[in-house]
Amino acid sequence: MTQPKKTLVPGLTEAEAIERAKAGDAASFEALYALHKRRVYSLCLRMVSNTAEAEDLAQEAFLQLFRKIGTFRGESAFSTWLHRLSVNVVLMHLRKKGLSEVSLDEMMEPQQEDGPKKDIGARDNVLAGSIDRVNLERCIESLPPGYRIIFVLHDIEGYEHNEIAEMMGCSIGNSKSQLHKARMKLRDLLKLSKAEKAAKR
Amino acid sequence: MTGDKKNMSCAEFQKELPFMFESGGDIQHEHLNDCEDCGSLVRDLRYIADQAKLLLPMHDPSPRVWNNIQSSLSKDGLIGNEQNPQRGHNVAAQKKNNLKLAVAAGSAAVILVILLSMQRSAPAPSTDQVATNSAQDGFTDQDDVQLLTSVAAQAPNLKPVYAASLRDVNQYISDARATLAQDPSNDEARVHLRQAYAQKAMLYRMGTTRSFNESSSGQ
Repeated sequence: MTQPKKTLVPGLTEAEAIERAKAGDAASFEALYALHKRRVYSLCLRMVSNTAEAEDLAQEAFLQLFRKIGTFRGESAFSTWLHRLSVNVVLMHLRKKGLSEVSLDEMMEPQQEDGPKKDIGARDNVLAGSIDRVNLERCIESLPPGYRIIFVLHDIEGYEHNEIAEMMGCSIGNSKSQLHKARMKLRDLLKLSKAEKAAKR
Repeated sequence: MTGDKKNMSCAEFQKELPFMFESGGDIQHEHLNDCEDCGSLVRDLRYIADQAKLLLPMHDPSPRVWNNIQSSLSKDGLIGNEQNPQRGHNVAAQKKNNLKLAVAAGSAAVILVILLSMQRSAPAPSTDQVATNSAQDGFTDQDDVQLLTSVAAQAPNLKPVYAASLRDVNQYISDARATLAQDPSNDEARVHLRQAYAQKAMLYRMGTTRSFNESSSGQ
């Protein structure tokens, strides 16, 4: 997700806004918030599926960002840095809530049950053409948080594996591997959902 | 990874699949030519990824989020105190209020300057021209009435100017107080209120005997 030089308002680039925010310029904080709020909030919302909680998390992520903005040196893209903070805030929140059965460490380790499955490609149950948006959203919500966050970041928000690896503090290979597992899990959930629908008819 | 792609087992193929997928484009692999199950798997995973792209994030947080962030940043001292942490989406309204206050401040100040110059050229006080019923000018504050009575007694021709100045400065105070009541953390309005009271105090000083004595002695 390499982006061109962003202009927030006429004559003010993102880099300039960051420098001004470091100096305490309130308008620059607001401009940076306006530029990134949608992505951060959407990530939070997809992870917790509750608007009030998602807003609290987005708020916390931006506050952490703005409090640390003086330390931003531009080694990584600003949006990557912000998303790394957001990911940490979300995962911490999920751990505190006890919702996450998959810790960050566990998440990055291959799980035996997620290995290749012999029956995984049954021809009589192909997904193509059978996914509707609502069903897909519901199945994404059912993914374990560790899988969900990588799936959201890569397949929905469009981040590259190198960016996700930076955000999550893992290797690019792990990011690819986890994304694949997330898609496999999602495939299972979608097939299950499809089978349940067929049984009801 | 086995060296013989054609004879690769499903397990071996699927182990390599995550890395084939992310190299971009369609997956071309000899194993897929002979294995319908893995072919179906690849199509499903590609389909899921394609469908997910359609779920673009389109949600905006409520203005509450920015208001809270701004408030916290202000408390932390990361943004200047001139920023009002509570106003959030009312920034435009507050700017309008502050502009109104600035205009009021300007007009009150201009009248004070005019008043000052007129006072310096005021004729000697005439006891015949003493006006005693300043309450008729619409002033309800007893101090204002007393000031106008005093001015009328010493320089009747200046009384209308003083009355206009008082009205202006009172309006200025009223606007600043209303803005502050609306938003107690509006520091700009607080500054305006202090300025308004300072202008009124100056008006009172000018209307005192000392000022008139000075202007009289200058003639």
